[in-house]
Amino acid sequence: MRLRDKRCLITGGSRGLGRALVTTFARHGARVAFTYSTHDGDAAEAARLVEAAGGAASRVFKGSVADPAHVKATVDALAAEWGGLDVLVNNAAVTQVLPISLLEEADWDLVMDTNVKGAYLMTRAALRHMIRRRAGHVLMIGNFASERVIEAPAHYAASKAALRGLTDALAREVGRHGVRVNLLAPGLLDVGMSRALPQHRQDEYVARAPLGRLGRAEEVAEFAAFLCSDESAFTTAAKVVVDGGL
Amino acid sequence: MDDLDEVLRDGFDEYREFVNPLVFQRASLAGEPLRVTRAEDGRLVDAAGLEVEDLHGTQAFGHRHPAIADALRRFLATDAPSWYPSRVNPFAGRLARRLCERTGAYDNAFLACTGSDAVEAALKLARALTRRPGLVSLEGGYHGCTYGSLSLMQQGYLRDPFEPCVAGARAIPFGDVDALARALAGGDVAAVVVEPIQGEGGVRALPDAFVEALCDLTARHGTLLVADEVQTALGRTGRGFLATAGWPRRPDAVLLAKHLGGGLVPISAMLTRRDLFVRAYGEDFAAGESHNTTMGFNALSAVAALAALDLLTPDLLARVRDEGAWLRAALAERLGGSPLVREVRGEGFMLGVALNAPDHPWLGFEHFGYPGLRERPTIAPLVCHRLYRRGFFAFTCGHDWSVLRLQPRFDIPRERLAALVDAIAEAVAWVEGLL
Repeated sequence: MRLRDKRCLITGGSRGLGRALVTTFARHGARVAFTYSTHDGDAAEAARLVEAAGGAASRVFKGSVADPAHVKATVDALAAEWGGLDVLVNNAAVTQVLPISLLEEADWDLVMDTNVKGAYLMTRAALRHMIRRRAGHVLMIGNFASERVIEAPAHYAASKAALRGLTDALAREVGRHGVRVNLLAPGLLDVGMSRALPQHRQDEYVARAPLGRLGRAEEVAEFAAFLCSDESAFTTAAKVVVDGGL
Repeated sequence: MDDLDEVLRDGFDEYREFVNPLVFQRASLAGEPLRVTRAEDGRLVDAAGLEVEDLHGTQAFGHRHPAIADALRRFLATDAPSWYPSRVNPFAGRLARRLCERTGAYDNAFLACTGSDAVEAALKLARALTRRPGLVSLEGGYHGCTYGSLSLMQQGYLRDPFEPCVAGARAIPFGDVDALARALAGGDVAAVVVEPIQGEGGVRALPDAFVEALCDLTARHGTLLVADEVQTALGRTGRGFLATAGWPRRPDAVLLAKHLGGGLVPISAMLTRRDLFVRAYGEDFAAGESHNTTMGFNALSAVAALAALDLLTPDLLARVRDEGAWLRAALAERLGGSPLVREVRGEGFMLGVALNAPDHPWLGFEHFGYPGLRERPTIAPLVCHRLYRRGFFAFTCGHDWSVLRLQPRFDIPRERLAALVDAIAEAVAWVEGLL
């Protein structure tokens, strides 16, 4: 129960890695809230799994992390209800598998707005409460696409690389207030956006990875739980890649 | 029964997991509207609220036409069985009669489930009748995925993995009268199978001279002339109920499928003449049942087909002809100046836009990460990719990826057709802008 009673907000929690994060955090004793943008049924299923994992009833917020009003309403509601926020996990992200020739400005903006601006908005809103309490942890979910040389959609890789910079800068800026900022970069997983990649790319990944398989969302979620726990209290500005050794 | 909302939530991923991950990935990568959750006024609506006009052609009446749905509900409200162990199914009998009367040229029908089933029925009819081995088709043809039907197609991804194919089957060049004459000269050909307008082959109508020779030569050599009208029949081409109705000689067999079931249930048919059926299968009771299908004669499908026939009024068929002509002219006018556009062709609501391959390495499949497809043109898939975003689910011809295939529903409003013209013009201009 390494996250017992920690008040955790996870963005993009309805599906894929996000769903594994909310259920794993609940299993570790956290009080879990999550956001989602589109799929009501998936969100309901994720909420059910949180309860099944032994957590208290989760708080669920529908909206885009790139929408400042949604972000403010979400964080304000949690702060009022919970009296603060201990952990923010910026997991919400979108991607499109497009070559640069077909990547349009609107595609670029969508990915950057969700993956980068969304993380900025959520982090800024959460930090207001964390810094006041002089404690807290922000975990960015990056991606191996920004860490390793492998073909990935350019805008997606750029957005995940931006989170590295955001992590570095913020960790230095808010460390003095006792707030930690880390980045966890998963490799290809057996759920979520990875599954949209063409089969030959997945095969290439498996062939090159020393562990010879795709990752499981739960494996990444367990590592995230560790990073967000007090057991890693001396860890900040870390960029941890969990990709099977690629 | 599983919860339907749950199916619409999880079933897409279950398809990827348990049916075919490559189909799922292809659709995702192409940007196709994938998570479609409902139909409204004939169109589709995806989970994000995007309204999608389906141009595949299978849904000629629009998705979930209320008249088809009502007919099925009325049947299910009775206590009539759907399947008859004797195989003597009154609903199949009525549908067969209605189909034959509607065509005015046939008096025997075999009902099945898919277009491929209908092709198989025709091939077996031809061999049983003539006792000859040869089966001739045209290059560029598409006939289905069963062994007989794929054997009629030329080399390619639909055929190569499954070799060897049915012995005696061969394709001759499209529209080549001399090749046809040579193929039939030996007197060993049971059937020639053609599409009046090749769909997957690039929306190519058979030339008149070839049709005349085809009708004449097959009659002279005692070879069955089979018209695969799976794509062209039931009003699609604007020529009427059948695209072959105006041929110098009516084919010995015509094959129907696609929207015969109103888009809600699968059903196909082979129509032929009673004398041919009796000569092929009339020897004894065993011969009479030597070709059959378990579920092809089910009442539910027949009821849907009867309702579909009611929808195919002369007015609707005339509308397909007239609106198709308008759409073709509008496309030709809007696209005429583009260096990427070769031709707008086709008839009725079976149209194709033939495009030139874009000459830039960053628009090739190799750059897209698919070196195995490097010889294929990307142009029609690129235009489709752009059209998806505008709510038009258009298609690339399966055998010719330089041709955009457009088969709207028959009742599509004029303003939607105009919007389609705008969207295609914009998509072509977008590709031009990438060069």
